[in-house]
Amino acid sequence: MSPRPRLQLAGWLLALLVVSAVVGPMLYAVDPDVLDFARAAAPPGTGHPLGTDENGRDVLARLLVGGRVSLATGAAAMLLAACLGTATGALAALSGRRVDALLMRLTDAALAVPTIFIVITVVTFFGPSVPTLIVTIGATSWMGLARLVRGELLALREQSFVEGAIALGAPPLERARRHLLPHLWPTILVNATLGMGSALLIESALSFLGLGVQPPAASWGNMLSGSQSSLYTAPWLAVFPGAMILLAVVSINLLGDALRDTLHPAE
Amino acid sequence: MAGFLLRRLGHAFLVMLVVCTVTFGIVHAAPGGPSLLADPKLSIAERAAIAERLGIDRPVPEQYVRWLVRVARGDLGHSFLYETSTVSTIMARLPATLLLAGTALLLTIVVAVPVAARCADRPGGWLDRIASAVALGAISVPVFWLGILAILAFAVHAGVLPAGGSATAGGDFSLLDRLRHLVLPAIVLASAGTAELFRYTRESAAIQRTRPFVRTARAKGVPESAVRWRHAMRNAYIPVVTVIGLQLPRLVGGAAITETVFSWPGMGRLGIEAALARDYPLIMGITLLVSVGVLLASLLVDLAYVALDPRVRPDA
Repeated sequence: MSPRPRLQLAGWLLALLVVSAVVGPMLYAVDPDVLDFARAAAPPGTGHPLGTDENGRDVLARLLVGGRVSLATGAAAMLLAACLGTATGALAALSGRRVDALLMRLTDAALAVPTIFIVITVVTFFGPSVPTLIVTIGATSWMGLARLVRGELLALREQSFVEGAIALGAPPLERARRHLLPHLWPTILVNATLGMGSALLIESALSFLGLGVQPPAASWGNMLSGSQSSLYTAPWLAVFPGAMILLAVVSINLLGDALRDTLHPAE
Repeated sequence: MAGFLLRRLGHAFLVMLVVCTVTFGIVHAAPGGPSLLADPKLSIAERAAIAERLGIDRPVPEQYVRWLVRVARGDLGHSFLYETSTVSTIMARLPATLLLAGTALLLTIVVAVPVAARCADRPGGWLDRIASAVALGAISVPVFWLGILAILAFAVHAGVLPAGGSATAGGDFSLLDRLRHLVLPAIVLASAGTAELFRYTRESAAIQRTRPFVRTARAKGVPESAVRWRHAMRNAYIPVVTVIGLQLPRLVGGAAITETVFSWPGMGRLGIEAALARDYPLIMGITLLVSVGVLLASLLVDLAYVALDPRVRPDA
């Protein structure tokens, strides 16, 4: 598909997901937290469209509410990573050689470390909560963007319009805001979009390990954490939340790909 | 060439020092000791005795220097959880992870590169569309969920493959049994990397296919498969090698999750257990080992550039 219809498809899919997460719980007025052990692990149909979980809670209601938590956590972590990455890359490119070397070795180190173990360590220390998740995912996902931003700024710095701005006496911050930042938007936008997809995946993996959003609150990831033990008795518990994560991340990656083909940022 | 290698090794050494400091800092900055100490049955004196034995009652800078000196000697201390030497604990679990991750990496390369080369023949053709859609799905799917679905389909429903573990309990070792246990986790672990490598290789190959030297080769009457492999793909390999080099961190993260889902007795699952139990020496040991591996891989990637592309001059 050419970029334009892909952009539209991704836009519609994402809009559908966001609307269902925001408005869905109001329209489908079933309490996602009410326990009903008499009807635990009921299959789809039977009064509950997508069945109930091992505690008798309605799966559809939890999917709709869980979408809020998962999407918001992914978006917030992505924003944090984008800010950190842009700031680090800009600082490295626009400061002296020593700062640049230090920041780039720090970036290399952050890329070499197996982040999953560090993230789990930090989350177990501070206790699993949405803010901890956002900060730890954001703080371990900025490195790719930092390298891209630095590379682009180093190339931009040599351009004559930047020399012109310097010659006209534009102060450094003004230069960065009016002459450099506008050229970085495509890179930041594409990278942040694809970054939100991976933030969602990390969030779901952590929730699956029991380190994400804590029950009784629902998230797509934590709905899956108990599902492996009931694979033989209630397989639908494993299917629906994962399908929602897949749908969300596919839409986001589709959007990221289409944006890249439209905006052509530097690789 | 020697100068290039030395410079890169110097870089890698600096990066390792940063890794050591940051890892040590993160692990020590957060409140709470090892979960061993959280046992409410322990008296204050017993707790102090454990802390002294583990060396965690001393000031943090002193712990850091002592730790660095010991790391330099190859001594990573003792695991809090297992009360054994960290190095031997990791080494006992490393072969299982190497088998799993190695198989996955092999699968990634032998699937992604040939498929991508064929897709690049006809961008937008049916093979290209199907493969690109599958790849988009594979980079978007949570790896643990793919594992659960694989267990659901092949172990629960079809019953043809085991749901987990690395060998049938109580059975003697047999190659066939090991392979049957390896199939699902290796495919699940390989999926995201294969999709990523496919996407980059296809892009890179499609660009090469439009270049004049490819047309010239065809005009000379070079057979199509030779045009593909000897002319176009040879030039497409640089980004391919980069992406293969970048697979190592992804494989370690993915292996940790995959091993947990499939109860595979490897280092990744050990790392997750260690992190959940706040077993500092074990977490730091695994982190350092993996970082060294990643840095070596990126060094190999740089050397591969030199071998693949004569225009890359390491001493320039």
